[in-house]
This record gives sequence, C-alpha cells and structure tokens, in this order.
Amino acid sequence: MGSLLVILVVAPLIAAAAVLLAGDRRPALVRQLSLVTVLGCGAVVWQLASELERPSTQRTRDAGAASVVQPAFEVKYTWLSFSTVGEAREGGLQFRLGVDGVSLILLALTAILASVAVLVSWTTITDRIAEFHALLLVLTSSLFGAFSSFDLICFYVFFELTLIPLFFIVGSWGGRKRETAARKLLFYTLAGGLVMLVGFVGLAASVHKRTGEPLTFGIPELAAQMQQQMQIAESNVPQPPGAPSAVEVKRFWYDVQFWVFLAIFVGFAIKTPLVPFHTWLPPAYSEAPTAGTLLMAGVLSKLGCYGFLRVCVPLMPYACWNIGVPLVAGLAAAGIIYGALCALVQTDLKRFIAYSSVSHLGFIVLGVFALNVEGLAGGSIQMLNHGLITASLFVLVGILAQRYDTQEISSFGGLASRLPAFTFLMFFFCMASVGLPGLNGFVGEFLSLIGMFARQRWTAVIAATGVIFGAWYITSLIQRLFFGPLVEPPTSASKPKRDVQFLEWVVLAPCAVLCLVLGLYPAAVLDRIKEDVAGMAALYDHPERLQPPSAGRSLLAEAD
Amino acid sequence: MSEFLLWVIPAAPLLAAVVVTLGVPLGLRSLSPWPVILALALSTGAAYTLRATAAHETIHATAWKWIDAGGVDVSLTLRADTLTLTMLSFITLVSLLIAIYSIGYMAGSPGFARFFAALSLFVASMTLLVEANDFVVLFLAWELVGLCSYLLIGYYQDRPSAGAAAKKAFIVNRIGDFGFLVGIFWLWSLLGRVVPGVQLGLDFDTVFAHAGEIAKRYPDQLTGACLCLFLGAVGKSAQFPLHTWLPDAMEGPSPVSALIHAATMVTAGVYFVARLTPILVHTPEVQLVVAVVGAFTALLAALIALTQNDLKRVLAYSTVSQLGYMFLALGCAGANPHLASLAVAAAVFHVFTHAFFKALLFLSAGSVMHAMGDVIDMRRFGGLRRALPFTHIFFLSGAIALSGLPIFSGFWSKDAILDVVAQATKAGAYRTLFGVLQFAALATAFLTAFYTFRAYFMTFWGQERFPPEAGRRPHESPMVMAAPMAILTPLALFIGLVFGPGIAVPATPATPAVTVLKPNLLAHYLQMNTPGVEHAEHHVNYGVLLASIALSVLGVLLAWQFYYRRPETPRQLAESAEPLYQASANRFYIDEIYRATITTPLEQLASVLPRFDRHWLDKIVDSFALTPRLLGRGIRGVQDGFLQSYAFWMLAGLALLLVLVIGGVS
Repeated sequence: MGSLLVILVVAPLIAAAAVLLAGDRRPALVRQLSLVTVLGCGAVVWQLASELERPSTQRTRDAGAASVVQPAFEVKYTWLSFSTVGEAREGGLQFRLGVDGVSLILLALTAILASVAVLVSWTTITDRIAEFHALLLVLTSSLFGAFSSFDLICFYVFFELTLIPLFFIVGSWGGRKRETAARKLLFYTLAGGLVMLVGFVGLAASVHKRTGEPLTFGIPELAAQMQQQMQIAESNVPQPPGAPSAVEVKRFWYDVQFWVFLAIFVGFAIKTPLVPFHTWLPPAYSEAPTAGTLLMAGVLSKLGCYGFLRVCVPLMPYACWNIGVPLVAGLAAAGIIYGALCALVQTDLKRFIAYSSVSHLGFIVLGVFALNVEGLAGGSIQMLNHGLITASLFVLVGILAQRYDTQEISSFGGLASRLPAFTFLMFFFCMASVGLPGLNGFVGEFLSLIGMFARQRWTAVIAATGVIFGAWYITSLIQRLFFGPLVEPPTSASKPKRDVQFLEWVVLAPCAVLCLVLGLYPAAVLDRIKEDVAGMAALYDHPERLQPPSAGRSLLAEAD
Repeated sequence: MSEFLLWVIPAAPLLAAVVVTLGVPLGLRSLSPWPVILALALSTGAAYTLRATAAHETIHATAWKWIDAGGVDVSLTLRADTLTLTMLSFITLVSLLIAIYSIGYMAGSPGFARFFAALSLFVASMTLLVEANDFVVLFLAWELVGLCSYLLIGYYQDRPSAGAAAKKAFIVNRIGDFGFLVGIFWLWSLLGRVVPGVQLGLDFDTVFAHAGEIAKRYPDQLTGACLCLFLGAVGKSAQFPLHTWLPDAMEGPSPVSALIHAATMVTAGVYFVARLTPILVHTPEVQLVVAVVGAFTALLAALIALTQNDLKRVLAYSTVSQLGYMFLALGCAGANPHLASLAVAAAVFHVFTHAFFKALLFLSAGSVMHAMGDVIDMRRFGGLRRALPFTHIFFLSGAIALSGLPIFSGFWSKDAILDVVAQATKAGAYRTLFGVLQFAALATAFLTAFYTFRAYFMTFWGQERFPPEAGRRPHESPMVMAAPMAILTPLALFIGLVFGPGIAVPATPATPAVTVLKPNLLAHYLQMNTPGVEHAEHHVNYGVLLASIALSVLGVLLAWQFYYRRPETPRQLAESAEPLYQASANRFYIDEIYRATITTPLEQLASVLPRFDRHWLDKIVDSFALTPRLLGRGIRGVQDGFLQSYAFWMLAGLALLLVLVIGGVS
C-alpha cells in the first residue's frame, strides 16, 4: 500500500511535466490532464482510506509499541546515511512516507481542493495555461508529500517546497499588487521555516546525543525515545552509577523542549498563521488568483496546524503543556476575536474572507492545544471543515469578482434578487462558517471548545465569544451584499450578469453536500482518527508529571 | 410505531422544506404551500396520536451517533414525555393554521416558495427542539430555530430595515447561544468529574440522574453553569436584557410574527427552563434570577407597550411581557422547592393558552395590515369594525383572552401563575422579594388589559379612517385567511377553561378531604411523565382570582374611558408627564444604550485594528526584512573595487587569524 503514497507524490509531478510538454497551444488537453490527475489522486486517497480501515491493516511497530505516532503503509528510503557502517545501523535522513488517520484527513482535503482549484481555473485562467497547471500540480504533489511525511526533514522539504509553486502562482497570475504580496509570502514563511528547521535539528541531535541511539529524524522513533526519556525522568528507580539522576533528565528534556518548541512554533505560527504572525496573509489571499487563494486558505494554512499536531504534540509534551496551552492556545483565542473584528470592517471581499479564515483557524489550534481527545479530534476534523468552507467561500467570491471585475463589498447591494442561486450558496457556506449545528463547522468548533474548556476554562470562554462575533460579521456581510435595493457595479457587455453556471455548480454542489454530510455524520471522520488522537492525548493524562522541574529557578537561567 | 411517529413530526416538515426548495428551479413555485400544509397536517396528526397513546412512558428513538469523541458522546435521539407532547400539541396545530393563512396572506409575493420552505424548516426545527433528548441536539435545533427566524424576519430582502432586524435577531440570539454553549461545556465537565472515566452522553436523563451529586460537590459551579444555560433562554425568549430583537422582528411578514410569538421560537426558552427543572431545583439562586428577570421583563415590556403606536409592536411587547410572566412562574420554585411542580404546570399552561390567543391576535393584526395596504400605525386608521367585521371579532376574542377577562383562556393561565407567586410569598427566606415580584405581576396584569384594549379601541372604534395605501374601500380577508382565524377563535377563548382550572372545594373542618370538582387537565397530563414534575394539583385560589378579575376589568374600563369616550385624555396625560411618556415611547432608550456602550465601541475598535495591522504589526515584520539590507549597506563600503583596499583587508584578516591562532596555542 505504500506504493499508493509514492503515487500520490510522484503522479502529479509526472503530470506536471506532461502538461508542460503539451504546452499552451492545447489548453483543453492541459486542463483535462490536470483534472484527471487530481481526480485520480482523489481515488488513491479513497483507496488508502478504505485500506486503513481494514482491521487487518498493521500499523507499524518499528518504533516499538510505545510510540504514539504509528503510521501505516510506510515507505522508507534512506536518503543520506550518517553511519559509516552502512545500512546496518539505521540513521540518517530518510524519505519516509506513511499515513495515519489524521494525515488521511489532510490528504483527502488536498485531493478535494486540488480538484476544485483545477475546475475553478477552467475558464478563469487563460494566460500561460500549461505553466499554471504545472505549478498547481507541483503544489499538489508537495502537499501530499508534506501530509504523509513521517520524517522531520522530509516533512520540512515538502513544507518548504510548497512555497515555490505558490510564489509563482501568486506572483504571475495575481492581482495588481501581486509582486509585493508574493514576495512577502515567500520570505516571511521561508524565514519561519528556517527557524523551524533549526528546531528540528536541535531536537534530533539532542535525542541522539542523550540516548546514544542512531541519529534519526523519524517522528515515530523520536516520539518513542522522548517518551522513554520522560519515563526515566518520572521513575523513582535508582539509576545505574554514572547515569544522570531522574531530576537531571527531566531538567535536560524540559529545557530542550522549551527551546525547540519555540523555534518550531515560529515556523508553524507564521504558516498557519496565528495572530500576530498573520500580516502576510491578507495581501497574499486577496492578490492571488482564486485557485491559489483557495489552496492557501484551504490546505496550506493546515500545514501549520497539522505541524503542531504532528510534531509538537507527540514529541514535546513538556513544552506543549507549559508553553503550548497558555501561549499558543491563548494566541489562538485572541486571534479568533481579532480576526473577527478585522473582518467586520473590511471593504474588500477577499480580505473579508481572509480575516474570517484567520478567526476560524483559531478554533483548530485551540483544539490541538487542548491536548485531550475531544480537542485533538475537534482540531483535526476542523482542519477538513475549515478547508472545505473557506475554499468554497473563496470560489464564490471569485465568481462575483469575475462577473463584475471588482471585489469591493460596497459596490454591491441587494444581490438576492439578481443572483438567487449565488445568494443561496453564499448563505449556505456562510452558515457553515459561523458554525451552525447540522453543518460541518459546528462539530469541530464544538469539540475544540469543549476540549479547551476541560483544559483551561477561561481561554475556552473567550474563544467561545467568537460565535457572537462570527454571527456579527457574517450577517453584516450578508446584509451588505444581499439586502436592500439592487446595487451593481457597471459591467462590460462582454460579461453578462449570469447566476451560478453549470461548471460552478459542479464545483460547489459537492462541497455543499460534504459540508452537510460531515455536519450530520462526522463519525465518518472521527472514527478514523480516534485511535491516533487517543494515543497522543494519553501523553497528557498525568498533568502532575508535566510540571516544570523545579519551580524556584527561572527558565532562562536554566537554559544553559 | 411511536418511534416512527416521533420521527415523522420533525421529518415531515423538513422534507417539505427540501421539496419546496427543489421545486423552485423546476418552476413549481406556485405549488409551494401544498407540501408544507400536507407535512404540517401529518405532524399534527402524529403529535395528537402520540399525545393520546404515549403519555405513560417516555419514548426514545435514536437515529445515529452524531458526535462521538473522547468524553463526548452525542446521539441524534428524540424523546417524548408529557412536557414534549404538550408543547407539540400546540406547535404543530398553530403552525398548520398559520401556514394555511399564509396561502392567502403571501399570495403574489415574489419569495412565495422561499417563505414556505423557511416556514416548514422553522416548524421542523421547533419540533426537533422540544423532542431533543440531550443538550447538544437541543442546541442544534435551537440554532436552527435562530436561522429560520433570520430567514423569515429578513424575508423582504429589498428593505434594508428587514436586513437590519434579521441581523439583530440573529446576533442577539447568538449572545444567548454563547451562554448556552458555555453552560453545556460546564455541565459536561462537571459531569465528567462526578462520574470519571466513563464516556458520558449529555442526555437529559443522565444529567438529571447526577444533578444531585454535582450539586452536592460543586454547588457554585453548578449555579454558574445553570446561569449560563439560562442566558440562552433569555436570548431566545426575548427577556431583559436581550429582549430588544423581538419587537424589531416585526419586519417579517405577519404570519411569521404569529409563528415566532406563538408557536415557535420564543416559547423555546420557557420550554428549556421547564425542562431543566430537575437540575434547577438544586440551584435556588438561579431560580431567583429567573423569577426576577421574568418579573422585571414583564413589567418593563408592559410599560413600553402602553405607548407604542404600531399595532404589531404592541403585540410584540405583550409577548415579551407574557413570557416574563412565565419565567416568573418558573422561578417561584426558588422560594420553595415544593412549588417546582406547580410552577412548571402554571408556566406551561400559560405557554399553551398564549400560543392560541397570540397567534389569533397576530393573524388578525395581519388581516388589518392586509386591508390597510401594509400600514400598521394605529394613528393612521380607526373605526375598522364596520369595514372588517370578522377581523374585528377575531381580534376582540384574542384581546379578551390576553387581558385575562374572567372565564376566558388567559384568565385561567394567568391565575395559575399569580397563585404560584402568591404561594412563594408565603414562606421561605425570600418572602419579601417575592412580595415585590407579586406586586409587579399584579401591576402587569392591569397594564396588559389596558394596553390590549387601548390597541383594540384605537383600531376598531372611533371615527372610521383609512390610510391612502388601503385603496378606495378596504376589504375583508379572503376565506383562506379567515378560516384559520375562525378555528383559532374558540380555541383562544376557551381552551384555558377546558384544560385549565382545577376547581375544588377547599378542605374544611367538616370535610377534611379536598373535593375535586374538575381536575386541572393540563397539569394532570404534564405530571404524568415529566422529569422533575410531580403530582401537585393547582386549585383555583379565590383571593388571587378576585384580584385578577378586578385588575383586568379595571384595565379594560380605563382603556375604554381613555381611547373611546375621551380620546383627548391620553394626549393630555402624555403632555403632563412628558419624560415618562418619552421614556416609554422610546423603549426606555435600551437600544440606544446598547448602541452607545457596546456596539459603537466595538465597531470603533474594529475599525482601528486593520490600521494597527498594517501600520504596526506589518512594519515590525518589514523591519526584520530590513536587517539584510542594512547589513549589506554596512559592508558594501568594503567592496569598493580598489585592489589596494582588498589587499589591505586580506592582510588585516590574516593578521587577525594569526593573533587568534597564536593566542590559542599559547
């Protein structure tokens, strides 16, 4: 089954090359080829999902039963071996793919939104078609790679690789201020990524140095070793002479995790983005072409949230508990309100959705740092929900912008009578976005909040005010766009004022159905992630073990 | 079979909503009412069948597991006990009648299909709400009700005011929902602490079973959780301080007002608090809050209703006031836990009678509007009793019932509430408080009769006047509108008498046993199988009865004197007490206070934030980006292209290295 994962990463790359060969002269072929590829990837993900569900499927036990990260269908190629003895001692950089419930969700999201991206570009992209689709496919491939990596360096490579196609998509096909937006996007997130890489290396090196195990960046192994070390730190069994005492072990790992967490936090916080690291987002989202925006908002933002979940939660329990819960969850709660208030006064539709997206991303991070089953499950399922909803909203905004050549909210009014189908869809996704129960947004938000409530009551209460602010800005938008007398910007005769077209229905109707199905039957997703999430949450079952080593000394003084 | 019927009740209107929506692109707009009427008739039939057959045990029907993660285990489960069935019996019937009325009222409106789809969804949500078996499913329905009210209040999309009213209703309701949500979280976490390690549903039976334990171990936290939950009820049932959305909701078509005020939506809060009785008995403080909020709202809204000139607004404030009455009754259990059963019976009884007469009042107000060309300002028409003879009768019947004139519906249910309040004043630590509340309740009873008949006299008596919008000669409503009102009229007048008063001869030394002449049917039914409601029969309290008769008759007579015999008196009164009049007419400036203290500051904050974003946060980020440039600028001087300087720097570097190496060796 591992070959399926390789297909996911490689097939879009091959298709990208093929698309370039086909060239701009054959736009139909380019589009069809891209669509077939992404739909094929979707089928592969479907296959993976059904295989993963089989009871016979063995999760890897290579790292020992102790590891809380247990991917299935692993593919490993040693990329660069550090060991002089050769393959005998494992160690080094690995190209390592696998899948577990959480990554499966994100693979599915990538496949869905990549298809949406190809379809919305069907009529809107007319310039350098081959290049555009090739970039889109490379982006898809790197996203598949990032979400199925189980090696830190491999993850990092795919994580950063996404930036290159994205940079060109925003910079070449974007709006008027595309170049500044693309540059800021590239350098800001790249810088964050580099700090994160330092954290990765630091973590792996510390584990290697302390345990004497071969240097590895494998997430399951690191998780297992970290857990083992933390058990030593808790054990009262006298250590063999010469070995460090339990308190020393704890202090060492506490400090390592503290600094590594901060470094990794920078990378993921910028990528997500968390307030106040979000300033690259509004220009990038509003300048990018629809396909780019929807992938950024829908999938790329999840790289950060997923990173927290995949790397921080299983590998750094001390840090997650002591900095993650107060700091990151606090920022997430603040961001929910901050984003909502910013959305309230936006005049540009894309920026409006961008800020609302920032606000709702807060619920994901909040759930992840609740560090219990409810929160982690809520955060995970909310990644899928948020991706679907935000992407659909951006598609809708794109439809409006394409018809009228403007995305100024104030140039519209009373559209309900002019575009009834558009109004219906917009309303539907807006309601999903504000977390109307029965639609998908609710399930994730509810679980995230209830998880956080159990962890840190006031953070959850503050975050929950987001339901009021969310209702406020969304109903304001609906009122401005759809109520009152009809106001339309003047349009050229070549662009008739048509309601939602067939192709647009093809894109949006499945998303709407998914929103409804996931809202009413979230078990389809929750059952698949149950096991993974429970494993991670178990790390945090005994809060007393996660307290700082000695309360008296300051962290900075200890850090040496 | 009962499980199936239980599902039919919400599912049929839901399906109808889907069918109507799908019919729009097929060009079947004009047929929209029929699936809805059929579905509502089915629901009504199912509700009454269940009411007749399934009263003795609670029915449960589970569809599937909805949210299942960690300690959260929520199934989509319906339940029906007698409280649910009582609610269903009027929700379905009144909604059906309103839907029939709407065929006539909405005819020719451009959003015909949208109206019926939303109406159907509204009823589906409301029936789901009373059938919910746990807090989260209840919350689902709760939010759906909010959504539907949003859709229907904002029905006239071309009016910006409709958009504003819909938005306000949605946001204010969301404030309540926020409390509800936090209450759920809190209750869940308390439950988890009392019963650790087990995956627990938030279904009512489980929570009720552990309520005593929670109350024993975490009394303060339980109080907090219940207060949060009550905030939800305050929002949905338009109680102070979240009452401001309901009068604005008049922007919707009149049948919607009837639906919101009578059958669906606002009764949800009362239902919810009644449902929570088994928990609330452990938190008397919360019940005191319920009572105080209820009494205060009842009086406040009645005072505002005195001076409103918009007929529908008068009715809207009367709804707020009557809901306050119900909460007051529910809260009386705070004085004495033994009153809980009586309190619930009285409140539900009032919800029940109120549904019929308020629906009738709104439908006949709609009929007036229909005839007056959508004018609803009572100053612009008058003396309509000749032009609209049937509407006149219908409105009068509703008004009689609402004012609590003897032997009609409102009289009995209001009396039940006043009696509970009177009992609450008899004993306990909060005697004085309840004395004050009783005074407020009696004052409200008087005011209710007065403002109701003020509206009645202003509209139907005096000199005959029509606004120009009405056309040449106003016409009575068509049959399809008149028939539902005709059916509602006897229900509004007499349903209280039929189900209501338990009449008994009080125990005397000669006959120690109470002789029951007529049982209180509704209370009996309710007590058969409702958690937290035990057998406790309410009998007519003659003292309260007399007071209530006197007050309502006095109110009606005063209205007659002011608005029929001497119509100049109110103006003189208003002039002599100008500030009071202005305060009431301007709804005590509550909207303005909210705008100044909450909305505007938040909006100002919101308008500052994006600037902060761009000019501060982003500049900090940019300053990091400046680092390489500045660094480059600093070192740029070195690369000046002169060979001599390169040689100099090479030498300098070599020297430095040498120094370091030598230093390291020695």
